[in-house]
Amino acid sequence: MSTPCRRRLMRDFKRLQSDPPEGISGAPCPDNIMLWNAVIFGPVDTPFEDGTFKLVLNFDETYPNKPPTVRFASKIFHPNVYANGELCLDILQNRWSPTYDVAAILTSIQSLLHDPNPNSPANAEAANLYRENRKEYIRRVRETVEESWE
Amino acid sequence: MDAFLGIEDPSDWPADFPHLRELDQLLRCPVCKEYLDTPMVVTNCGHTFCSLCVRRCLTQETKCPSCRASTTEGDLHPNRLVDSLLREFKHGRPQLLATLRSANTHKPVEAKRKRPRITTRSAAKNMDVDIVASNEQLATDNAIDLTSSDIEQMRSISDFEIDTVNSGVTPTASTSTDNDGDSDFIPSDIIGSRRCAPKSHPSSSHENSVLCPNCQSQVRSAKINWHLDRCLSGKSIDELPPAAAASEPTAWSTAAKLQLTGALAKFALPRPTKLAYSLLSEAKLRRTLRELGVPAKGDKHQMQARHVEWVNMYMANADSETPVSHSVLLRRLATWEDAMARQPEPFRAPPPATPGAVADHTSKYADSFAALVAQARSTRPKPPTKYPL
Repeated sequence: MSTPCRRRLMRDFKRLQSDPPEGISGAPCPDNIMLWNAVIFGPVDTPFEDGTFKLVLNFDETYPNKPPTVRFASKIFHPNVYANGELCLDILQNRWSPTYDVAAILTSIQSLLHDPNPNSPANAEAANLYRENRKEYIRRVRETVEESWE
Repeated sequence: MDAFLGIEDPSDWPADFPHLRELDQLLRCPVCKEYLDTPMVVTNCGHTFCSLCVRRCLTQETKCPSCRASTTEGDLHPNRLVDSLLREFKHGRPQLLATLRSANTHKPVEAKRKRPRITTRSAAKNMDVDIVASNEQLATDNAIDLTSSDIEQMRSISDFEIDTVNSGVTPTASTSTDNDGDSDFIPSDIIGSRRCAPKSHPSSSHENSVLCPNCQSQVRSAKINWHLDRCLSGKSIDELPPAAAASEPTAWSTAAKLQLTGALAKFALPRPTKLAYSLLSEAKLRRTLRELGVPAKGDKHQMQARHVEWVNMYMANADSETPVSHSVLLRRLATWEDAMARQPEPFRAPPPATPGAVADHTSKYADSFAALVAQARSTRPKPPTKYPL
């Protein structure tokens, strides 16, 4: 049965296919349109460069009035990503707007890789290293980039 | 892609018509991304949304969904011009799309004319698909809760509306109903005046005809889809259109219209108002729902959710130039509730999903992820430079 939410998700998918943002892809699982897989390439000129980070997005019928639950399925060392893959990203919480679509969500996450926000850390170690020992931070990030290819 | 059948998108327009893509985009609601349905402008910031979409958003948060400016329902105003623009645009869309695409396939129109019809078959197939897709789109749009007779009824009402405006009879009637956004449905006096409006326009045969992109003959715009189907598949176009196409809303008898009006009036339900749910007992809320003619089953939480949605649906319907009957609205409410009751999918469950569940998921969809990686790689801006391994 088609509901506004499902129709909107199909539309988001069509948009993502016809005009994909750079280094981003996503698609609903073949057996469940409410569950999406996505891949974000680490942005160029950041330590995440060339990493292929997998994400899982879970929608429910309140979308787009409520944001989906998004988590990284790949290990990632980032000040705003919890150890279990959950993200600390304002637009997925209190700054959500129903005008966002899947492409907008994934683009925001990609730019979060570009500009971490160490002031609201989800991973204290990553936030500290990002502020105080950038070299070590980069080394740890590069480890996860290599892991992301497996 | 089959799954996209019926999902229209700005990208349907050929890439060499960027302005049409942009126009298509502008006529869409920023929230649902569909063409605006009962467009309402937020008067303090100027953004426009579907009435139901923006009302649902304001239930969540009293901010404009686009710019987050502080907004309440009192700031909403119907945007009639956009409504009219859309009506015309939607009518012309399939035809314009077919014309542009066929022009793209066979560059000079003259050359195409000289060719035997058989050579245009492949293009014809494509166009057929488009037309079928757009018809299906229409169908799926309404399929949620409208039967075909409902659609016919609504079409005939919207025709009345146009006539009323064109003939200058009670030109302000519809706006005055909507300014307060709450008047009971369609007051019978307005319907009465609509009924008096003459249906047919003088010399309408020429005004309403369009050029068939295939055979270049003049065809009545209402019959163009039927004509294209026949014309492109090489069938005779001399036959009469099927009964369904022939019985345009124009063919509605006055008696049928009267019957419809009566039916609509019978289902008019009282206007709901917003409630302070925390101050209401479960019993009081149940009684209120009963008085409103809305199902009163379930616990307080369910009743509250249903009441919120009903207020939004009712008000959005009152905003509309072509409101549906309250029985249709009640069916929509039931459909909405069914969808909401559908159970959460795997990952939604308790927030910290176990690492095991995530690992299972990635291995289950390993192929899907591999395809996505390849796809993302193909759109990547440039090869890595700064951090070589």
